[in-house]
Parts: sequence; structure tokens; C-alpha cells
Amino acid sequence: MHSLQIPMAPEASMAEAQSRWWLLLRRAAVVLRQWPWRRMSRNGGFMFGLVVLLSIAAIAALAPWIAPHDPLVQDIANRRVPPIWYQWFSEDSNASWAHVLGTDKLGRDYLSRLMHGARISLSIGFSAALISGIIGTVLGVCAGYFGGRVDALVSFIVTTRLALPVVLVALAIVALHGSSLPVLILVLGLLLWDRFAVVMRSVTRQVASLEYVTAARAIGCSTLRIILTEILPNVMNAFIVIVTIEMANAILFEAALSFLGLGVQPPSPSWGLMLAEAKEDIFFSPWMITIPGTALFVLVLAINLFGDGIRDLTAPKGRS
Amino acid sequence: MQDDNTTPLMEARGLGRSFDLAGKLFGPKRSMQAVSGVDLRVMKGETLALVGESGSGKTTLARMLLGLLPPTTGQILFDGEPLRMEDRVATARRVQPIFQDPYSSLNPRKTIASIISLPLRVHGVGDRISQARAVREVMEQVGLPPRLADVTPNQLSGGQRQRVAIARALVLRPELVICDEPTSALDVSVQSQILNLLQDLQRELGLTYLLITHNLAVVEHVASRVAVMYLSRIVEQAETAALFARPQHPYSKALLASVLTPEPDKGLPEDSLGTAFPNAMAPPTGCHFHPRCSACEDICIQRAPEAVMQPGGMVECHRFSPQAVPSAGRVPIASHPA
Amino acid sequence: MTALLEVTDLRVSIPLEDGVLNPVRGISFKVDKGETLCIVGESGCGKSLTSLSLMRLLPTRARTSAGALRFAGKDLLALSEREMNALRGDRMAMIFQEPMTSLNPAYTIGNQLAEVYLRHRGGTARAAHERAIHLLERVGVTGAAERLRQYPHQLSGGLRQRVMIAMALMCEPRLIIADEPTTALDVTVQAQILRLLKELQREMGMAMILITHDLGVVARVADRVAVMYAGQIVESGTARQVFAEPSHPYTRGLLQCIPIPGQVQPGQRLGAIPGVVPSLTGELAGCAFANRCELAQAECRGGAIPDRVKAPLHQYRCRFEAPRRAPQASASRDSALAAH
Repeated sequence: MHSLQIPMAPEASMAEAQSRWWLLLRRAAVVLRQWPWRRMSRNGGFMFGLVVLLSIAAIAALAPWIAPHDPLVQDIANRRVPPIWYQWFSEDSNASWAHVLGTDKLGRDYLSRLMHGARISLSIGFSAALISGIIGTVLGVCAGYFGGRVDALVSFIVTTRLALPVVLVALAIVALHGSSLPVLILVLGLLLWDRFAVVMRSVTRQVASLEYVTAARAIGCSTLRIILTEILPNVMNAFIVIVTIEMANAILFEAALSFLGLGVQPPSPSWGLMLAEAKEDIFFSPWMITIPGTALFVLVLAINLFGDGIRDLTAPKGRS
Repeated sequence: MQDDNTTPLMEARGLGRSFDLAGKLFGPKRSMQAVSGVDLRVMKGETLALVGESGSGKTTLARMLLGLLPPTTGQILFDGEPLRMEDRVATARRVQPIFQDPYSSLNPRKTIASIISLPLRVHGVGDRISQARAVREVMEQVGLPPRLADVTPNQLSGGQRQRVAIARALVLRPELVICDEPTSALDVSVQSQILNLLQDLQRELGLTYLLITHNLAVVEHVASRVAVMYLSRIVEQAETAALFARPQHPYSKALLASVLTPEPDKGLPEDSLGTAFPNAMAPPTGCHFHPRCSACEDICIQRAPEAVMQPGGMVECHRFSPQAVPSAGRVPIASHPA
Repeated sequence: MTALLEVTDLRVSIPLEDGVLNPVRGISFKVDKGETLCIVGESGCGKSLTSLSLMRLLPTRARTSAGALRFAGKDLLALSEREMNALRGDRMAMIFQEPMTSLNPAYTIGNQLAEVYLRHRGGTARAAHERAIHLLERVGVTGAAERLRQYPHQLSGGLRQRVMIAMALMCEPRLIIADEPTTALDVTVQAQILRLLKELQREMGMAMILITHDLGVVARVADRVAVMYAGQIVESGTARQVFAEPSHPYTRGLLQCIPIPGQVQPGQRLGAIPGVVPSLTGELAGCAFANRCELAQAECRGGAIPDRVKAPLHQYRCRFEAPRRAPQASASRDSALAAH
């Protein structure tokens, strides 16, 4: 946690600093005490999703240090080496522990590529979801709180966006500007905010009609303050649920773009790219396409279960 | 209360508010008159009760008096000076609300201390230390134990939440508190606790209350004057004792008769109101009450009555206007049934 | 003569995440043909769940048990869901609190009224419509034929509640359970609706269980009263008995909280009951009211509390004998007499 830093300063500001940290600690203690720890551990889907997500995130973060090989180094002599379990099924395969998940057609270690690929998937998924989340939330909250003309305008914008063929637009932009990671993240972020806008708008409308918002206005709070301190904290659980959905969406989208050759470029170990490169070997080396496919599936499943769990846990408890 | 020279703490003159409703795409715009022609005065230190049922416009009136909704006609004077929408912050220091539903009037994600100290922080009163002290003081005044300062509202009961709402309203030491049905959502045993608390605080802090309610029994207990609202208009104003002893307007009489007291031998009151229900979107012509009034005459259907001043208040009814001609052959309305 | 509805030692328990909720802890009462029983209590006393358990409408995880739960001789707990469905709406009907949400907004009034009749009595749609019109007129809805084609959102709260009453009456039930039927209505409409219910009850010889928190309603409408607190009936008797001589401290406390117009000194403090209702999770030892009762002693918090009989039909559950005449009750009666 924080260390209590008491500055060398006159009495008054020292008391001020102490009281500020104290209030912060108390606030944190309140949040932690209120956290539904027991309910969390009983929700199987949520725990599975959380554990898997954290594992994948850890692997992705530590990939440069824990990957057995460099994912870009080619070893033509050892190409198309099957994964380790082939050793147990047939006598003459050259599977070995050196390449636990085998190698691809250029001899690059699959396990290392998978680990580094996780970095790409997670970073794209998370960043794109965050950008689209911010855009969509700003639009949705404004539409929900102000209503009237603002609402009509935002609805128009959302309808326009929904009328766009997203895949084609993405392809076009990537074709124009190249397909580096930042471009991909930006493109996905700017195209996937519609669900945020719609959901946040309806949740904001519900919250804005509650009396504590009226009370805040009666106290004299400015509009910005009301939106930031009264409305946002109460629409956050909807946001978190949608963020997880959109993150999964973005990851799959990136994989699709890479599969089509318009996403991350080789030799980057994006999972979508690994799928594309494994297409031609699907009959003779089926593991090459199965492994990244399974990884994608597991990641998206974990994200969705995590999101479901969050929704269940933060659902408002009715009055007993 | 006679008209004397002291300025009322809050005064509404000719206040009105209409809402535009979404009409059909190519049709005329429809509008609904929620409040019309309201003249109201609240003197310092008193409790004025505003009584009305659903559709009467009392909530809209409260929002206007709080400065949250601009009136479409008329004006509001606070201590003699007009209230302006732009001065919302200044108004907020002097007028504070207490709402009906204790379950939705507190932000479920904030701690009690944060909720109560919000007005202080918004208006920049004092520093963090003195704010915390003010919060502790006001919590004590409303009867909340200090250990509740760090909990969130969903751990409190309805009565406790309402106390938090009261604390929040009072922490800035406002002059006028507008209570919108402060006890309707609470259990009977808790209602009386809260009402007693409101009375005590009024004495201690010299507050003025505008109490909006539909519960007449409570009105007699805490209010010094009563205003009765029906379908956007105030139909009668009087001192409490006078209203309960001799209600003038037929609607006031019906309201009083409908109060069911826990006296088993009395049976159910006679119902003279008919089944027409007040529809604010299509108000009846002339006197708004005429479809349900047992004393309705032709003039009631044609012309809206004007306010007739009486000692201690007013009433809007043709039967009391100076030009009223007692019509022969009609049985006079029975006085307020015992 | 056996009673129409006989309930003995009804208990409901609902397992929750953090323990078992016991909202109904052993209540017993009887309702005779044509009589009105009012169950009165504040929020959290279990009265609504009692009514739902009579109709067996509780969620599946709730467990209902009773010494006896008999309606017109039939044991309700032994019936299958199909048999219970046949009873509901036909012999036993329910009126809910929120007329806004208890009518389906997607169907017309006529559709919903006819559905009840057709479900239980069969016959033609025409016959069902005629009966619906007849009942709507009886409950005071003007222009009944027109109304049949309207949707719930086009009616006011009072009208919707009348429609609900008509719906409950379509099959001439023997018992009506009304759960806070007038709480969501305006005070002027409340009196009309209650009067209507009483008239219909007399006409059709129905019994009624009226559940409410409003003692005023109870006094004017009930033949017999049962006061519920924390899942138990703490006092029961005829309306006259309970209001004239309230014997349980909770009943006395409640009556002191209610000001009676005409008998109020301005500025006087209202009576109040300190404290809050205890949680219904887990077991409660002794008297549930002990932590709020001014008479409470150590022995109130443990062990069984005896049932005392004050008069035939008037019972209450307390360790202490109630005073001969509660001061508040007699004062209100005296001044009420003086005002006449």
C-alpha cells in the first residue's frame, strides 16, 4: 500500500497531509471491507475467468524472460517439429522438450511465439477496449444526462456508426496507413464504441432519475461535478461488463484482420497471423492451427466469464 | 396570520409551470399545465404544509421553489429578492430539500460522511478538519451514532437513511427546508421518530419548513398553516386549526373526510367524489374540481373561480365569492362530517 | 362450523447466501366465510410472505411448513401444482399492491379479464366479455365496454385497482387476499376502493384477508385483526377489542404513533417506538420485540413467551399482563365521543 510520507513542514500542513492519507486509508478500508470476497470465491465462472486472465496476463508480461526461445529466430533444420505429446503416441516423431509445443514452418518455437502473441492480443484488446470505452462512455453519459437535443445528436452519431460496414472501413484504413500496432489499436478503438454509447446512455438515464442526483443539484453542484461524482461511480459496473465484452471482440477482430493479412505483419507472433500461416499445414501438422486457435478460444472465454461474474457480483442487491 | 409588514421568507407570486409534451410529428404541440396561478407565502419560523394528491403539481412546485426548475410564469421572492436560476448556488445555501424515498436519495457508492459533507465541499465552507467536525456535530444532532460515518447507505435502515438526508440538508444551516413527503416511505413507528426529530431541529435551529405531504393527520401535528393543492392550483389556504375545524373548499372537506383514523366504530366515510380522476393533461373547464364536486353549479363549469381572501387565508370557490347568489332549492353542503 | 381457511403453525424459511431467512415463524389464524381478517404489521414483519404462502406463490427455494393449512377442507400443502393452479383465481384470488405492475402492459384490459374466466370456467369469449363488462360496471368503472379495449397505461391508479378487483372477482372466489390494495393510491380514492371491497364482500359472501400497515384502514374495515411482528402474531382479536384495549406493547406503541385529527395538541411530540425491527435471519430467542419494549426484562429474551387470553377471541403474546385499560386508547375514545 502507500507508505505514510510525512513531509518536513510546519504543523498545519503536516496535520493536513496526515489527515488526507488517513481519510484515503479509511476509504480504502471501507471499499475492501465491502468487497464481496465470499461471493466472489463461490462464483465458479468468475474465478475461472479471473485466474485464466491473470495467468495469461502474467505470461504476457513476463514473456521476454520466461519464453524458452526467441520467437523470431528461425531454425530451418527443426521446422515443423510436433509438440511434445506426439512423442507418446508415435515412435518416430522428433518431438522433444526443447520445443514443448513444436515449431512452425520456419522452425520458430511455438511456445515462445504463443507467449509473445499473448502480449499483442492483450495489449490490442485492452487498449482498443479502453479507447472505445472512453469515446462511447462520454457520448452515452452526455446523451443520458442531458437528454433532449444532445440525446438526439448522439443517437444520430450512433446510428451513422452502426450503418458503417466496420470490417471494410478497418481494411480500408489499414490499407492506407499500414498496419502497425498503434494504427490497429486506433482503428479498433474508433470503430467499436457503439455498444458502450448505447448501454451507458440507458444506465445513465436510470441513474440520473434517482433522487440523489436531484439532491446534488439542489446542493448546488456543478454539472461536471455531478457527472463525475454522482453518475459515473454508479454506472461503472455496466462499463466494466461492456469493457470485457468489447475486449474479447477487439481481440477476435485483430485476429481476423491478421488472418486476412491486414493486421499485424509477419514476423510478429500475433495469434491471428499464426492461424493464417498454419492454414496450409492443416492436414499434416494440425497442431499448428489448433494451438493458437485454442489459445484464442480460452482467452475470449475467460474474458467473457470474468465479465459475467462481475455483472453478477455487482448486481444491486434488492431490499430484503 | 394577518398580512403584516414583515417580509415573508419565501414568496411565490402567480407562479406557473407548463411542460411541453411530445406531440405527433405533424400535429400541434401539446402542453401540460403542472402548476398555475400559485400565490404562496412562507413566513420565517413557521411550518407551512402543502397538501395534495398525485397530479396536483406539488412536486413541480417544490422543484421550482428549490431553484431547480424555472417557472414559465410568475416569480419567486426569497426574503424580498427575486430568485434567479443562475444563482442556483446562492439559493442552495438558503434552501435545502429532504426527499421522500430514503432508498434513492443517497448515493449508494459514497460513505455517509462524504454524503453529508458534500454541501460543505461544494460551497467551500471551512477546511477538511472543520468540515469533519461539522459533519460529526450534525450527525449527533440527528441522532446518528458516529461510527456510521464510514458506512455506505445500503447498510442503514430506512429511518437512518432519512436521518442522513436530514443531516445533509442541515449541514449548511439553511433558512428554509423543503420536505417532500419525508416520512411516506417509512414505517409508522419510524415516521413518528422522524417527525419528532424535525420538530426538535426546528426549535433548536430556528428553521422554516415547507412540508409537502398527503397525510393530513401529520399536518395537524406539525404545521401552523396549510395550503391545499388540486390539479395545479391552490384551492385553499388557512391556519391549521381553522382548516381542520371548518374546511371551506369541497375538496378540503373530502380530503379530511377520507382520513381513516384508527377508530373501529366509525366505518368508512361517505364517498361524494365520484370516479372522475384528475388528469393534468386535460383539465376540466372552469373550476378544475367541478366534475367531482357535489355542489357544482353552472357557473362552476363555465368560469374558473378567483381567490377569495379570508381571515387567515384564501379559498378558490364560487360559493365564497362576494357575488355568489345562494340558489334557492338546493340543499346546502353538509358541514365537515364528525 | 369449520372455518373457510384454517392455518396452524405456518412457517416459511428461505435459505440465502448468508444464512436462513425465517420470515414467518409459526403463525395460526382462521378466517370464516364472509368475514374480514386484517393482518397488520410494518415492513419486514412477514405479512406479504404469509399471503404468498397461502396461495403457494413463494419462490421454489422457499420452504413452507404448517401444522395445518386447510382451505374449504382441502389441505393446501398436499395439493399438486396443477390442483393448486385450479384453485388460484377460481376459489382463491389475490389483489396486489401495485396496480401499475400487476397488470400486463402488453395486453388489453378485456383480454386479461377474460383470460381468468376462460381459464377456469371455459365457455365462449363472448360470455367472458359479458361477465367482464358486468363486473367492471359493478366496481364503478364507467364506459366499461370501451375500457375493455384499453391498455393498462391508459388508466389512472384508482381505475387500475378497480380493474384488478374485477379480475379477482371474475370467478366468484370464496376468499380474496388483498395485499396492501390501497397503499399506492391517493387518500380520496382509498376510501372508495375499501368501501367497494366491503360491499362486494357482503354481496358475494366472500371472506377477505386484508394485509396492510395502515392501522386506520384496519380499524374501519376489519372484523378481526392480527398484529404481526417479526414473523409472529403478537396480538389478535376483534377490531373493537384490539383498538379499545391493545394489550401487546407493540400494538400500544403503534397506536401511540398515529395522530388522530382533532385530538392533537400542536407542538406535542408524537409517540414513537425506539429501535428498529430485528433481522429475520437465523433464530430469534424469546420475544422479538424485547429490544424495543419498555417493559422488557431479562426473561423476555430467552425461552417461550406464553399466549395470554384477554377475552374470548382476544389473545396476545407477552410475559406481562396488559394493564386494565391503556391510557392512550381510553383518551382517544373519550374525546372522540365528545366531538360527536
